[in-house]
Amino acid sequence: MKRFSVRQQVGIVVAAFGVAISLAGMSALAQATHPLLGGPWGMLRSASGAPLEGIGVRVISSRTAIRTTVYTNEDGRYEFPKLEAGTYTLHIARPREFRPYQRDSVQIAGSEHFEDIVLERVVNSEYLPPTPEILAQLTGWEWMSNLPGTGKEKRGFVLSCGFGCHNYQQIFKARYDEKSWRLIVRRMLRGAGSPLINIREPRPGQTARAGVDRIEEEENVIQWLARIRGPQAQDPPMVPMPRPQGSATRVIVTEYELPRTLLAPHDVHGDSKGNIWYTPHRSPYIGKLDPKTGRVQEYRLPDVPDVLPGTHRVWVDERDMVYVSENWRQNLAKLDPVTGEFQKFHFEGGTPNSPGFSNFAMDRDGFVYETLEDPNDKPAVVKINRDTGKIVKYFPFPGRISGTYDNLITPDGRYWMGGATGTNLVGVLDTQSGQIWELETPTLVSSPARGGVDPDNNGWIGGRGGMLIKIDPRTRKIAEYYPPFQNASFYEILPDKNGEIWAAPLHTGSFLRFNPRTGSWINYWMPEPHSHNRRTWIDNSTNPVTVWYVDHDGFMVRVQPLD
Amino acid sequence: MNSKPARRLLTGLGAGVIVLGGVLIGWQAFAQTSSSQGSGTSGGSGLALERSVAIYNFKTTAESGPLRGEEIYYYKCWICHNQYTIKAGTGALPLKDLFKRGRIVSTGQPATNETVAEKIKNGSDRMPSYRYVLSDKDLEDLLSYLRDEKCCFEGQEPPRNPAYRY
Repeated sequence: MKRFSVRQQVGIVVAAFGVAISLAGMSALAQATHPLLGGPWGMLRSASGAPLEGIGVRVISSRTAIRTTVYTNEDGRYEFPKLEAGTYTLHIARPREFRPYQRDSVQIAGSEHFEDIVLERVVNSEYLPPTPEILAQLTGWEWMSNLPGTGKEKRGFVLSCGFGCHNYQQIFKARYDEKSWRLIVRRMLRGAGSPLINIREPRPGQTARAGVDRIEEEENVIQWLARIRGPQAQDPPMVPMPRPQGSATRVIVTEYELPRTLLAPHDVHGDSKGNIWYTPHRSPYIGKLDPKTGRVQEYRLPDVPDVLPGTHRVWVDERDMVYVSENWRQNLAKLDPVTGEFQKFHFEGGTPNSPGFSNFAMDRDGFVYETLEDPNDKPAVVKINRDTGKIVKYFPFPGRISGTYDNLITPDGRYWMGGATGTNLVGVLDTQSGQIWELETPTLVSSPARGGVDPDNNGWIGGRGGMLIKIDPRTRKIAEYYPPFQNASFYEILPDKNGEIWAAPLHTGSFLRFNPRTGSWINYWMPEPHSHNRRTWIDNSTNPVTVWYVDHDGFMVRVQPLD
Repeated sequence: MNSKPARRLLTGLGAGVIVLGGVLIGWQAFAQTSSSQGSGTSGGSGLALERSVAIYNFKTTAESGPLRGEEIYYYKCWICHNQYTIKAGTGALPLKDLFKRGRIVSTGQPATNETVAEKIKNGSDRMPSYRYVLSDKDLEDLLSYLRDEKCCFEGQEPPRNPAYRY
C-alpha cells in the first residue's frame, strides 16, 4: 500500500475538508437560491423510509397566529421562507391518509435544519376509513366523488348547490329525512340571495340555476340527497385525490386569522400600501389586513333598519378610497380610510334583503359599471360617477339577458362583459358605439359568474358549470377551457399581468393556474380543503405574482408561487 | 523569510481553519436540530390545528358551551329564525328569550331543555327534523346558547375569533 508523506497527508485532509466545505456551501446555496425561501427546512419521509412528495408542512406563529405552509418535493424536502424569530407550532396540514404529526414550541431564529419528519399511514390501504377525523379533512369534491349518484344527479347538484353559499361538508355530513331535505332545498333554492329572506315561488316553465324547470331541479336534488344522505345512509371508504407533484409543490401559502368568526368573508382587494381589504357577507364589519403583522383594522358600516348587514365586492381605487357594495341594501359605499367616514350611494329599483347592487367594476378613469335597470325598468349596464354616485349612462340589453352576475370592464372603459347565471349567455358591450352582443358559450349551462380582464383586454369568466370562459370582445369569439376536475364549479377566475389565469374551483381545496398559451394547468393544494374562494386579488407588483383570496369559511389566504 | 517553513505554517493554519470551520458548521447544525425541536408526535387525534376539523365540528369559536352553541345556531337555526326573515313573513318564530317566555308556541308545551330538544329533533311541517344531524352534545351546547342572554345571532356583532392575536 502506498504511503503518504506528512505533507501529502495534510494536503489530503485539507482537500477533503475543502470538498466538504464546498459541498456544504453549495447545499446552503441551493437551499437559499430562491428569494422567497431561506428559512427553516427539513426532510419528510414515510415510516418505511421513502420520501413523500406533496405533503403540506405548516408552522403557526405563537405571536401572530399566521400560518405558513410549504410542500415537500420529490425528495421529501421542504423549505420555509424567512420567518419572524419566535416560537411556532409545526404540524402537517391536511394529513388525511397519514396520522397527524405535531411539534410544539419549535424555536425559529433563522434557517434551522429541522429534525426529519416521519409519517405513518392511518391504514395500509388506498381506501380511507370514513372516520370523523378523515371526513373533516376531505374536500367537498372528494366527498362527492365517493358518494353514489348518476352523472345527472351530481351535475344537477353542482349547478344548483355548488354556488359557494356553503361548503359541501355541511351538506354531505348531514342526515335528514326526505321531508326535511325538501324543506331545506326549497328554502335554499327559492330564497333570494344569501339571506334567503324573499321567497321566489317557481312558475311553470321557469328555469333556474341548472337550466331545467325549477320544480324538476329541486326534486332532482331532494331525491338524490334523501337517497344518499338519508337517516340510514352510511359513509363508504373514501378514495382521496392525489397529492400535488413537481411544480405544484413549489408554492408558499400563508393564512391569516380574522378578528371574528361567522363573518362569511367574501371579497378582497389590495391597496397601495400593501394592505388587503375584505368584505363580510352577513355582517357590517369590513376589514383591512396588514400582511406584515397579521393585524386587522375593522370599519363598521352603519346599520339600516330591517335590512341584513353585509357586503359583497370591495374595490380600492388609485387614491386608496375603498368602495364596497352593500348588496342587500342596494348601496355603493365609499370609505375614506383616513377619516373612517362612509359615504353611501343608494340605487333604486331593488328589493331590500335581495341581491341588488353587488359586483361592480371600475375602469381606469374611475367610472363604476354595474347591471341595474334603466328609467324604463329595462335591464341595462350602467356607468356611474364614483364620487357622486350618479348614473351617467345607460346601455339597455337588447333582449335575452336580463342581468349578469359580474361586470368586467377593460381598463380603458371601452368594452364591458358579463354572463347570466343558469344560462350560456355572455354579454359584450362596446361602450363607444353602445352596441351589445348576446353571445353563447358552447356548454349549454356554463352559468358564467365572476372574472376579470387580461393584458390583451380579453375577458375571462369562471363558469359555475365548471370551465374557464374566454371572451374576445373585439371578435366576439368565445372559448372554453375545462380544468382537470370533473364536476368543478367556479365562482370566479382572474388573469394576472402575464395572462395566466388563477382559478380556485370551489370545494376542491385547490388553486389552479392556467397558462392559455401552453394549455397547462398547475394544481396548487391549499392547506385547508375548502378553496371557498369568491374573489381573488392579484398583486402584480411581485415576481412571480402574489395571489390573495379570503376563504368564505373565515380566513385570509396568500398564495406565493415560486416559479 | 524561508519559504518552506512559511508554506508549512500556512498549510497548517489553513487546515486548522478548515477543521475548525467544519467543526463549527457541524456543531451549528447539531445545535439547530437539537434546540429547535419541541416534542414531535405522530398519531393520536392531534388534529386540533386543522381548521377544517374545527369548521366541520362547529368549533371555530369554542370547544363547547354557549359560544359553540352560537355557531350551531348560525348554521342550523339562524337562516329561518333571524329577525329579517321573520319580519318578511316566512312564519318562523323568534328564539330570543324562548325560555323566558315559558312556552313553545307551536306545541304549547312548557319550554324546558327536554321539550325544546324534542322540538328540534322532531321538527314540524315547516321545520326540518334534526334528529339525525345534531348529537346530544350539539343539542346541549345549542340549548345553552338559547338560554344565554346573548342569543340570538343577527350578524351585527359576530363573535370574536379566539385564534386572532390582537
